Amino acid sequence: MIAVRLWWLLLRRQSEQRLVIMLAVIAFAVATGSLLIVLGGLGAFTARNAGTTGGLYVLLAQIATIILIIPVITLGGSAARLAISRRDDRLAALRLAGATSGQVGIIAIADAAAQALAGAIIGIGLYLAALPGVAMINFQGRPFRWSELLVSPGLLAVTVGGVVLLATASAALTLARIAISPLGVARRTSPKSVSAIRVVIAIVVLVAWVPVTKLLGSSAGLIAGMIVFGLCFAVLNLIGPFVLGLIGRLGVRRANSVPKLLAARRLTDDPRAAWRPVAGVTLATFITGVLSIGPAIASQTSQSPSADPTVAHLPADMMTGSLLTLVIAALLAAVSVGVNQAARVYDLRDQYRMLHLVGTDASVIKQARMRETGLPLVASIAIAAVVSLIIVAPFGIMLIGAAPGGIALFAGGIVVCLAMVLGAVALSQPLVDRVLASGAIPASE
Amino acid sequence: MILSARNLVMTYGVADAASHALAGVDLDIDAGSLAIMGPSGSGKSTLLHCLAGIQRPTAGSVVLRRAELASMSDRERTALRRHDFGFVFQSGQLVAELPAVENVALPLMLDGTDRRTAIRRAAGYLALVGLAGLEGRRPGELSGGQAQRVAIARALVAEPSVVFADEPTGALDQATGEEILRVLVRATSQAGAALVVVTHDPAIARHCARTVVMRDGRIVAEYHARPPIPEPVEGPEPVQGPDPVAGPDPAAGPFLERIA
Repeated sequence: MIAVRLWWLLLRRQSEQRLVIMLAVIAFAVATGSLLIVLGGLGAFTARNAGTTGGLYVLLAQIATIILIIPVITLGGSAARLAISRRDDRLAALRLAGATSGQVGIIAIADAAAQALAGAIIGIGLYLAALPGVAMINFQGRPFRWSELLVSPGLLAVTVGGVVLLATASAALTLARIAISPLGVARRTSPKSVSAIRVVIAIVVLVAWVPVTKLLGSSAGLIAGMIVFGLCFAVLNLIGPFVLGLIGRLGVRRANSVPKLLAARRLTDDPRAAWRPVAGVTLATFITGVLSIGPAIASQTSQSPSADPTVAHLPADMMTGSLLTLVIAALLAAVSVGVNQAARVYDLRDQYRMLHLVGTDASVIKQARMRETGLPLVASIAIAAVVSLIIVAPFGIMLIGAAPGGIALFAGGIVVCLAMVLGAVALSQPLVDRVLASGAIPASE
Repeated sequence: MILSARNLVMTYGVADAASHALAGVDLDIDAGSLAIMGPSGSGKSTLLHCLAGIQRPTAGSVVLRRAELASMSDRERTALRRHDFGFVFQSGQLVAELPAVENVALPLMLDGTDRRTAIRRAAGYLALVGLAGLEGRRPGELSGGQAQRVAIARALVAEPSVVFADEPTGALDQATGEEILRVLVRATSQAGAALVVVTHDPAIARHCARTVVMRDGRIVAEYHARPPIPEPVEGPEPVQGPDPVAGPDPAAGPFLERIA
């Protein structure tokens, strides 16, 4: 009870943390808003096709929902980590003033949960604001009615509750990894190196995908397919940090300038942390790669002589659906990158100031930032592209080129992802200038 | 004369709310060591920031070999800090991801020295401050005193004219603090640089050849030997630090070969 009262007292006095709180709330809001739009769409397809032969639409909407839920969860998780990990000084000061580590834990988790709740409520607003736009999109030859896209109050409550629960769980997990002492916050362990076993697991999962695709006709096979597809998704996050570690080690050997050395050392030091900001982009690229065979499959289905009249709109709808999924995935990735970049400037502010004081030009610091995001970015896009090609291979890689929309989707998706991340880094550069201009020297009078 | 400050004024706020961190300071810095002493809020850190071109004074001038710092652009002052000045602060000044030797090599690499040469020279300066053999350690794997030695090596590696140290022992226990001060004074003198130390501790200031005392933004006293200080209170047994003149550790060889 004391902890909750303390938390309430502190909640009203945290003007210095405004930027961080705002970022976390924005991330929760976008995650909730996207989730509600996706769930609304799924509900609309289910209701529209109940009792008709349009089961394929429902299946595709389900696939899109599964694809998009993962980035939503990832973004929610990073928002929770952001909410909790930037409070280092404040939490340490509380410990110094006599708060127990349990009380500090409750305060930190309550913070994350409160921000998630605020974000989720704003997210409902975003969802309602986006409805008129979403309703204008044509599927099966006609636009949606608003009422079709509205989720039930029960589902709304479950979604908000789910986001808050996700934030609380992520915050608790983050908290378990740090020790808050009166003298500061220390990581319990230094980052562990990533082992090559990740690559072995990834190869096993990707090899399993090929036979599983042969079983997709049966309902049991479909479930197995969904599970293995989900695992392939997870595989990206397994291989990514390992590859980044390798790139970093090569980079350290070859680095002959400060930006290159700093970027390479950051990769080898904690490949997982370097991967996190680009994880969203990896998912978006992966989704683009998988969806790029959509237009060709759709046109084949509609051209076959036994084509069902209910799937007459399928080619156009597959393209629309793919684009919509990509746009939502890209939006989630953009917010995720933006939040991570801003948080990183905040984390490294003392180091940036110190480097500037000892004679490092602001341009060198900015080059190092660009490079330390650029390397993981290129690696992540390459990994996602390769894994997505492996996923589509059993259906025929040539399908990507069979319909012009496929190539446009794949190439366009990659360009959008690249532009988005570099844009997010460029947008956060003024934060570096602000940090350098403040000029305060850490731990001095 | 290396560095000369005339009538330095630093004012924060305006009109009635204005406070004078520096209220007309004249100071000349020559070769050798100088301590700037004073209680908290006396303006000693502000003076150091103005002397080092980190802050522009509201009025007055700082001249380094006939060049006026206040008239330089931010870019020029950044370059000046890189070439002519070295810095040692209380803590938090090393890049956590870089091993000790690369932290020390940073100023040289920033100036365009190739990595192999920079690392070789950095290893020499680490040996000078008694850290031979610890080249591959990350800041997180060093004690507070060792981290300060790395910072001292980094401050000296670019062969600066002046090394500025702001409360360099503030985060250390007394015995380690004194040891670090001895290393700082000796290494700076061997490197041929002037040393300016800001401290509130008379025990630290007595390591310097000259001391100025500040109060309310002015210099109120100057000593050309050790300042008069009370007898030190009995403290902990001095801790034996690493031998500053010890040669390089043979174990460091493979690490240096690997990264250079």
